[in-house]
Amino acid sequence: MSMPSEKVNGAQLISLIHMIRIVPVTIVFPTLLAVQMVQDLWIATLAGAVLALLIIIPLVFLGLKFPEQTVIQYSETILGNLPGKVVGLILVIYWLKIAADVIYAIGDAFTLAVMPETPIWVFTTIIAFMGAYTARHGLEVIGRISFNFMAIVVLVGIMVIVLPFEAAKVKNLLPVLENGLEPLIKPVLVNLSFWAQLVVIGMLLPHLNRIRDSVRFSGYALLITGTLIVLFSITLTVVFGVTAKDLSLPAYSLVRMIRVARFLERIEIIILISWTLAAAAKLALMLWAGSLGLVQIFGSSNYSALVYPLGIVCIIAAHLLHDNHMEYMSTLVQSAPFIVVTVAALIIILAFGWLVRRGSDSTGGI
Amino acid sequence: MTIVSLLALVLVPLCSGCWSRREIQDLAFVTALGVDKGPEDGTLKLTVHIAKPFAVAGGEGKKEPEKPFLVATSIGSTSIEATRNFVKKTPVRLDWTHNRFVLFGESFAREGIIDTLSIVGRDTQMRRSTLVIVAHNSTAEELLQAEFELERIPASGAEAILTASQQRLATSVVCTVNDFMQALQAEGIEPLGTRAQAVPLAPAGEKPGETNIEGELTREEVALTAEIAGIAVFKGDKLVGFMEDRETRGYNWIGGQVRNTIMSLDLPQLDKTAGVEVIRAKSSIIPQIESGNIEFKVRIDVQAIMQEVTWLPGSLADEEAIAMIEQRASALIKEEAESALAKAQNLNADVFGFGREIYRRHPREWAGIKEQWEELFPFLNVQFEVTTKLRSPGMTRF
Repeated sequence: MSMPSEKVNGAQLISLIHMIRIVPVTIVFPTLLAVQMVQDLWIATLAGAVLALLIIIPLVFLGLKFPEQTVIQYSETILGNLPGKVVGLILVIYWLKIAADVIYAIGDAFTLAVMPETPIWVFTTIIAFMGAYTARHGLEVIGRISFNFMAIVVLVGIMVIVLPFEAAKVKNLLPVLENGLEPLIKPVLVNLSFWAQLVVIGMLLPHLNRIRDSVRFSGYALLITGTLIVLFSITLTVVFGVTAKDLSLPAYSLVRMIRVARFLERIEIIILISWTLAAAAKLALMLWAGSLGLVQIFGSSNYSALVYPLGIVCIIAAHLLHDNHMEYMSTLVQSAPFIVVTVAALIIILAFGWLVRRGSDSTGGI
Repeated sequence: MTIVSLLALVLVPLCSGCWSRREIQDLAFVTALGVDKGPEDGTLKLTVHIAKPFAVAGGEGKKEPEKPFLVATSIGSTSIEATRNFVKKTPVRLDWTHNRFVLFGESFAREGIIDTLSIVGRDTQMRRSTLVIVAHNSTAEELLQAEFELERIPASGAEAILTASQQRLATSVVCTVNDFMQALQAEGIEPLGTRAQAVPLAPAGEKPGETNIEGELTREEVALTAEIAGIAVFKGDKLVGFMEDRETRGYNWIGGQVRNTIMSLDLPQLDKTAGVEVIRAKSSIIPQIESGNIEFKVRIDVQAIMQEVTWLPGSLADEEAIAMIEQRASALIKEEAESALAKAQNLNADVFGFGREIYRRHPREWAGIKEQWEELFPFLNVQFEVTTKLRSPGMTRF
């Protein structure tokens, strides 16, 4: 198989990982729904970010072992033809499902918060078109826009975290873990189910211009994104206390609480910008990964013709899978354990398969 | 590519948001919302202040200054229906994004306000930073007739008074819908709102000078103004009583929310009343649980400066005078805090969050007593430890 020609650099890798994780946090934040006590939220997100290492480390390790192959390709190398294709297909379906979720999240958020009378398909179609249009231009373009968008998204994130200080009551963080660690299991699983989306970096690593950097840059991405999410959880808790769990769009509600010196207020537009940009970048990446993965399963590499059809499939899937906000949220929360287990199983199979193959290779060599 | 361009051509006009478009000249900005019981059972009556932008801006050569706001009322069986019924009366669409207050009439608030508040939480235009106010001894509609001489828009005036009376006098509390909802849902604390009272001014008689020069000197007549001070105490979402100015300051002492205030201290030794200004105060509420017996210690630390007190040089040593004033100040603070606690215990509404303090520090013990908190709170033993420090004598030493 030929060496991939599209290249992204380390900073772009950071931004792509950031976009993947930040989208569900800034829009609906499903982890919030899973916590028993809001005070536990920041602990759950912190634990999730740390446990995400268990997903990233084996992926990066496998990526280093197969520096010229995507996860779709090396799963065939490791597991053999048919099982490899099955694993590849599961991953592709997973990425397209993520794309459909992102599309629905944007449509849902816009109709819920800003333009309730506008039909939801207006937003889902526009965001899907933006994502597919970007995806068709290839990974380099996705990398560049997501790097540029990240500056805005992080800036908005910091504003959202810092500016509602007037309404913050730090004591809302007490008591810490009143019922022990057991109530944390569910929120940590939900949180991890979103970190699990990072398996898509299996598609990115062969395109990294210096593959050795992948360890370092994935670590940075995890650090930046994890810190933002934990700080965001803390701000949510101190501003909204027990009522945080009631919020449909926590970040949006948080921005609406900003009122600095009777002067800086009504700036919810910034979170809309952040949503749209981050979702478009993430969607582009998922559609790119989905189409490239699909053609690679069938042994080709020209994916661009598939991007728009898959985009349309994702819009339809978004509308078929989800009906309304409540149902969407409970699906995200309830499917979390299944997703975590599936992704973990795939990674374990690949890592174990690689170990077995290396063992047989070396014995064969002797 | 042609297809893409065509698609873009079709989609771009859609991006301007045709469906939910609003033009600014078609909007009327609500600055305050009042809620009362309606004329019939099961209905409620909303009163709103609508800003009149053309009157705020003021036209040139206008003789009679127009009131910059309109008071409109509407009736419905739910608050949201009543807000929609304004359509019958106002030619422009009401916009709630700039609404700063939700005001409840006393009799309405006594029957529970949560359903009305829920529209503030759910609606995309209203905000959780809206302030909750309860009209004492009147309906919200009456209170919304109030105006302020020095501020043309009553909502701005009320907000300025509320902020000032909280920050510079400590006789008021700023309570947003967000605070209210949190207190309602959290364990071991009851919500509260700001109290406001309508104050009628002396009826305007014939005033000389009013018509001396035509138009130029006409002054707006203000028949009713509002005083914003005190606390409306809730139990659940139902109003149960009010705290007066002193009790409100007591509440603020206990919560450590006093930023600045003036205290008048009787000094029998000098046979006069001294005025000191509090410049900083903080408090800590410490629950003490020993073998099932719950006691609270509230430590209040206050820093003050002397403003209005004299004594003859030589009649009293500085240290003595300062010690005396500090002691009187501490005693007064303790008295106010105790009166606030007594009022809350009388109403059996734990607005201070003593129960929440137990929950935060001793969650296990709280689990055991939270069911009985209602029986425990009225007889709760709270020790106040107040220390006052006079920091500076001001510009003179005597």
